[in-house]
Amino acid sequence: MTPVIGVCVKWIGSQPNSGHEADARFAQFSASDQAALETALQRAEQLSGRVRVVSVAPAAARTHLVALCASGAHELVHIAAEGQSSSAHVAHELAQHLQECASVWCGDYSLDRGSGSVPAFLASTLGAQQALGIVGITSSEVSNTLDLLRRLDAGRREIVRVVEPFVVSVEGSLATLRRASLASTLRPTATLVDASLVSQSAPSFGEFSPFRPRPRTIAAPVGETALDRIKSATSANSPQKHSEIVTLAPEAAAQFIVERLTEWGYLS
Amino acid sequence: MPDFDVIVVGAGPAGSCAALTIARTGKSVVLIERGPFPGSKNMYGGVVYPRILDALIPEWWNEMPVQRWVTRRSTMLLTDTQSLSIDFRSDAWGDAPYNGATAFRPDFDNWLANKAVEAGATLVCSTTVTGLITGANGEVIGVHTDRPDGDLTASVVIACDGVNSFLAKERGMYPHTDAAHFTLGVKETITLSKDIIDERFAVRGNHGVDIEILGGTSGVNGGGFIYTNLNSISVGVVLKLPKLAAQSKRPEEIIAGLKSHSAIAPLVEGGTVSEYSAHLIPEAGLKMMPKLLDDGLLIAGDAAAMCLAAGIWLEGVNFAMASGMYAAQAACEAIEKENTSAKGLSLYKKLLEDTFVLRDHRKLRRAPQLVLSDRVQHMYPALITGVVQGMFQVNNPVPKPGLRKILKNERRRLGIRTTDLAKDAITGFRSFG
Repeated sequence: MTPVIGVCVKWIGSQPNSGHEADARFAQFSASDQAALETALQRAEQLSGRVRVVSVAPAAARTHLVALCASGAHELVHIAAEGQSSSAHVAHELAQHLQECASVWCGDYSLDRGSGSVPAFLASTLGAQQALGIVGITSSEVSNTLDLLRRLDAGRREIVRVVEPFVVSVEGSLATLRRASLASTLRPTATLVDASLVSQSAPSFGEFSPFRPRPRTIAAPVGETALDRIKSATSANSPQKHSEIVTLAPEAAAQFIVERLTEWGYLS
Repeated sequence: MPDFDVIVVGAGPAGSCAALTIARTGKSVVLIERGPFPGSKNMYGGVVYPRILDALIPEWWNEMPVQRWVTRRSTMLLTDTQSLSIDFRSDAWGDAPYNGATAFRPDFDNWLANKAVEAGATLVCSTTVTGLITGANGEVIGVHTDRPDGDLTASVVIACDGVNSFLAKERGMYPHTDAAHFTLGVKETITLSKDIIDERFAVRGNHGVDIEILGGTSGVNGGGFIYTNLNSISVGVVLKLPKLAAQSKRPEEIIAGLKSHSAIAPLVEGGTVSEYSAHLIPEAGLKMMPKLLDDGLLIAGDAAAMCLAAGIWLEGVNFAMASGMYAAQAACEAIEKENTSAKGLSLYKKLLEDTFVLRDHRKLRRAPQLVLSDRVQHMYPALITGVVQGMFQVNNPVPKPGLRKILKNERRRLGIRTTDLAKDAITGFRSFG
């Protein structure tokens, strides 16, 4: 069976806050969306698979989607929608056309400065593994597994191993989309599927709000002088406790983390 | 079997009119544009005189993207401290079938290209034609593009690839390329509210103004212009290249100088520069025109130097549209007669000769040189404004001098010889008369 590689792209009709009305002439796909397509094309070449581009976009996006697919995609699923939808809703709609995909590739950044959360919702909806903000890919010895490089704070990197099915969002620097040939530009070959929204809103994922550490009541600092009290409040004279390395089984490690976060006041 | 009947290179006014004309005959035509959409790479001052569109798009004024219909034309002479304006207004130009309009090229060119697409032309954007493909006998049979597998063949190629046409040059059709044949057009689009524009330029509704300026270019031969858009004005200069290079001045400094002139400053005051752009203009008319056709190849628009820069007449888009349309008619006839050699395409030359395109250029062939000459640029504005100042200045108790005396005094003051004045008057009369 030919594997299907999914790609999700977001069409942006105009730059946000530009003061200009949406104008299809200036529409673009982000560099990371283009990198996602290129990476998917390369993956499809390795696996002799097919690339399916799926997008929730207005009718004005059609010519741009077709032009994008001229780079080598085999199928284009255009889910017609004129208004704005939540990330959860968009992911739900995209997922309807990505069920059988071995992997799904998305950009980590859209030109309208969206939340970047669609890939995560998509992975949740598809029950797939996820890796977000990828800057490098290493093939594994197993064909359905990839080692993906992610950025961490302070210049650190981590390698995430994902096994199909997975959803990945990539940074724009990962790859440059190949130029479409003149023949495929003049005569697009991607199979075009017109789709419509299956629902008008997203299934509920529960209530979300930004994480804020709870306020804690702490005892007033003790000391005769103001300086002493400041030292006490800031633990300036206390022996510093540097990072602690513990080696535990995953379940015990998770429990350890929860206990510490509770102790520090981040969890109630 | 070629891929298309005709390949049109460049989706500017010439290319889109060519593609529209061909598509309507049922022939296959591809319109190749290097920008992401038609008009994205194009720039002009900009007034367009679309009368030629009557032949292609009846009642075009109902759909053409217009900023303002030009109902006021003003010619302004500037010295450092003086200005003289000749102002003309016609209400008739503000109603159908109109005369000229200001328009934004990304809107206008895109609209015109979409007309060609609606008629059946294939538009390919973001694709640059990099060269010509020639057949066994040296005839043009297609183009190379910068896309993978980017060769295309056709019975006829129409090159509308703009000023500095690489295709015409590759074919050796520009034997006399000279920097002196070109000017540099530089423009600032300055945002102002519609109410302020209406008030400052004394217009209402969608009526607009075209001001052409002689002088005010900081000593560099050329001219200036101000055009009103709906919510902005275009202020710019057109500068003769060798003079600009010789004086080592930067174009934006020259525009700044123009904007600070006492006659211009109140018009632009409080505006925000929202765009700055520059473009070469083929201004030498017939003198620089390339060979217009070859085996399998036609040249139209700016690529063929179809730009009329004759002082009081500054037109280009209408010449481009007409030349594109005539090139298309010639290509269609040649394909039907199965003779796309230069001889088979010769109808193009005939159509240009029989209409305003080459007739106007021929009639005004001396005008560009005269208008950009040092005397017209630097001495005559001072002469004319000096005479007018002498007429209107009241020096009581000295009695008013006669006009002849004022003219004589001014001519002497500026060192203008009578013979030069007479010679230029004759040239002017032969050009414009």
